Amino acid sequence: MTDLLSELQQCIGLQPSEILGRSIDLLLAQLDPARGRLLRLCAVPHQLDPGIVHALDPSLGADATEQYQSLCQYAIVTSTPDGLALHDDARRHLFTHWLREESRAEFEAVSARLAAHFAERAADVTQVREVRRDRERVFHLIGADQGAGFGDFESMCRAERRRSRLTSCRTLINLVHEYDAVLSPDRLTRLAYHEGKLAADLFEWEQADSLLRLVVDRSEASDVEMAVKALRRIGLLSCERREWVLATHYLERALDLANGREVLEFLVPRLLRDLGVVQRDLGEFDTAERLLTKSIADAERRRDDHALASSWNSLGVLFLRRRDTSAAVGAFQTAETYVNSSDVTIRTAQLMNNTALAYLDTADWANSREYFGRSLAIKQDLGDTRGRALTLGNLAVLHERVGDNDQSVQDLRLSIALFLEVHDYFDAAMSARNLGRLYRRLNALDSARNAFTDAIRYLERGNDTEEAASCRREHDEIGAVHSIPWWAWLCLALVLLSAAGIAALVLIAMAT
Amino acid sequence: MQIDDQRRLAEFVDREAEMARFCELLEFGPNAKRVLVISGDGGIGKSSLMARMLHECALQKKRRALIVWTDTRNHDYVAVMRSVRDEIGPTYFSAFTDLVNYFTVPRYTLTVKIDPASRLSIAEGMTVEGASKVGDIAGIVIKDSMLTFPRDDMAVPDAERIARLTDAFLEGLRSFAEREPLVVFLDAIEKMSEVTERWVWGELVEAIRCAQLPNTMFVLFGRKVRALGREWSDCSETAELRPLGFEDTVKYLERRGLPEAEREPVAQAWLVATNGAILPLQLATYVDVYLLQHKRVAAGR
Repeated sequence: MTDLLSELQQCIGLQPSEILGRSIDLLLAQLDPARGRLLRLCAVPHQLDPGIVHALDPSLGADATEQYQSLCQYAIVTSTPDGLALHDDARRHLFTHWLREESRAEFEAVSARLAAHFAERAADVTQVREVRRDRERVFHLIGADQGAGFGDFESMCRAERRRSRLTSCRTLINLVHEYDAVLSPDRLTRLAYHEGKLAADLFEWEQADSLLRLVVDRSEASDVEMAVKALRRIGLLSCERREWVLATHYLERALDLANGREVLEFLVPRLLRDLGVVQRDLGEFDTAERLLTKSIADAERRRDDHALASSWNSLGVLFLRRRDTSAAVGAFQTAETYVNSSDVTIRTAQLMNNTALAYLDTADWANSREYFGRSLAIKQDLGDTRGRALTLGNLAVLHERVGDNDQSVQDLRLSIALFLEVHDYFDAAMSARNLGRLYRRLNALDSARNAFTDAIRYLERGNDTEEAASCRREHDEIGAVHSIPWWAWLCLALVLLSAAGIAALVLIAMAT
Repeated sequence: MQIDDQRRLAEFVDREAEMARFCELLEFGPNAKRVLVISGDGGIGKSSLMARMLHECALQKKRRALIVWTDTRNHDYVAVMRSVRDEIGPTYFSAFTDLVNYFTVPRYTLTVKIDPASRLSIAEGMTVEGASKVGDIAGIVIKDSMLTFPRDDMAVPDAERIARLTDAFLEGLRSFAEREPLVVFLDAIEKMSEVTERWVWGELVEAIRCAQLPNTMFVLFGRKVRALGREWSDCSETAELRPLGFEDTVKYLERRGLPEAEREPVAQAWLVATNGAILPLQLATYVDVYLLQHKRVAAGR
């Protein structure tokens, strides 16, 4: 009792985390050494079960299960759906102990055992768990062998990102952050790079920007490849935000660094293309053409089909903007030849769509219809509903131009339905607005009003109040044509009567 | 129930207001709020309160589902939906399971087709290839292949997968909840990734706000929770857990077996030491120390 009271008096003025730390240290001091050591070891993994406890201390042998079960008598041990675990704050306190120099040898040995344990479990179970076990394996491998573990982290993070599994990337990054205190400076920089890319994928522009700038600052002198990649990312982020001057600045810096470095030369055609696209979007068509042509020449020299397809496509869009449609068609068709025929992807479908748009501009209806159809077929096969909806919106324009208004209406209706199916309320609203405009041109005013009302509803569902207000104005303008107030009619009649009266007077005057 | 949960229930003190409110909401009255958000610092007793609420659901025979985020078990949107389905049974989720297989199993074709007019028809175009297996089509139970990566013979954009799977899942959940009330507990929500958080609030809990889910309540626990906008005021309420007061501390010490004469002086000392902010985890750990000391002294005698 006296001990407890005097101990409590020493806590006066401490932060809650410090009080918890003191209480845990006291608890470990009260336990017999073997038990205290086990509890401390329990902070290395994130969860506990008999198998993990055995991996923590193989000398426990058959007692591991009993030892595991007895852990739940302590308040710092909590239950999770996977078994027991140390309370987060308690684990954090104890984990810092393991990152100290004096604990390193034991920590590396324990981490190696845990990495092997999770590797075995990852190979043994279904895919859902495999990913989680594999993440845990990677976490412990970093503890055992930082170089190998960090390498596996980067491979896994890239693979998960390619699969759009961003939650998994976030979990991995958070796990690696637990080693911040002992990670080498270059690995901390690489971790910031992966985190910056993730933030960009999540449209967290500010965070992405600050992380990637940090990467550039840290790596420009020591790791040029990392610096170039980060500069390119910042450039592309600036493009997304339509900050063209900044985008040009960062992309040019990246290009300067990449030029002449063999290991980075594969990035040169891509950087030239990025710069060309910026210039194109700025309306600097000549500069854009020069950059894109250079990018194509560079990619040809390296036989980089992927870069060639992208650059030819960008050049095609440039020609379209210049209204040089035959050149645009040529560019898109060239781009198509570089897309691997065995790998028909959304990219191919986009190329088809662009080609169709170019034919549309030249009033080549048959070819335009043919390419839109091919684009739609690919998107349908790939399961890209939103892509189909976008192409149908373009196809509606074609059908209206050839005078097939019924088909145009059907295209737009289907496009709206598909956008709604994938919860894309903004694009559904844009298609509904286009439908409203089409009806207005056809003088089907009630249908036009209904379409604009739908568009407003979708925009409100997507919380886009600005566009909704703009749509409402268009909706109200239709009403204004048909519901001119009585006094306006009266004024008009008076004006007409006055004009007729004046004309009559003039005629009388002329006659006399 | 795990041993740790039993301990929590036995030692549970305070939080009477939160429990009373939860019991009121469990009646699923016509104007009852359907989203309860409980926040508080680490160690303040969220897990104990949740264990008590889960126990209350069991006592009242209310169906419930529990999703817990941890540092390594970071559920994404599909994992959340799969967990809820697995907790309340697959019967209502055939279309959802079918769609999950469709998006993950190469060459899989849909078995269950949703027809907006007739709502549900089964076994149309029943071609199942690859790793997937159909369980019991007659009972409309489809086995989830439990794959997580998007299939490589399709290129369905992520946003589309999310939208379609969510629609199919909510349809199943709605069918279930029309027959039986359901409480969904989401614990440690501060550990959700940004993507999952957007989905949870923008699609899952949003379905409550848009009155798409009858008889369903969500209870969310987290250290940090987002500020809810005014549009949530009709359907949600929040509660921030406070540190224990003097009397609850005395009651806790009693439940932990401290002699009566020692309870009040210890509680008083705690109040002074923590400036009135007694966090249950810290207190409980000190009591562990105290009890161990006593055990050793007793053993020494």
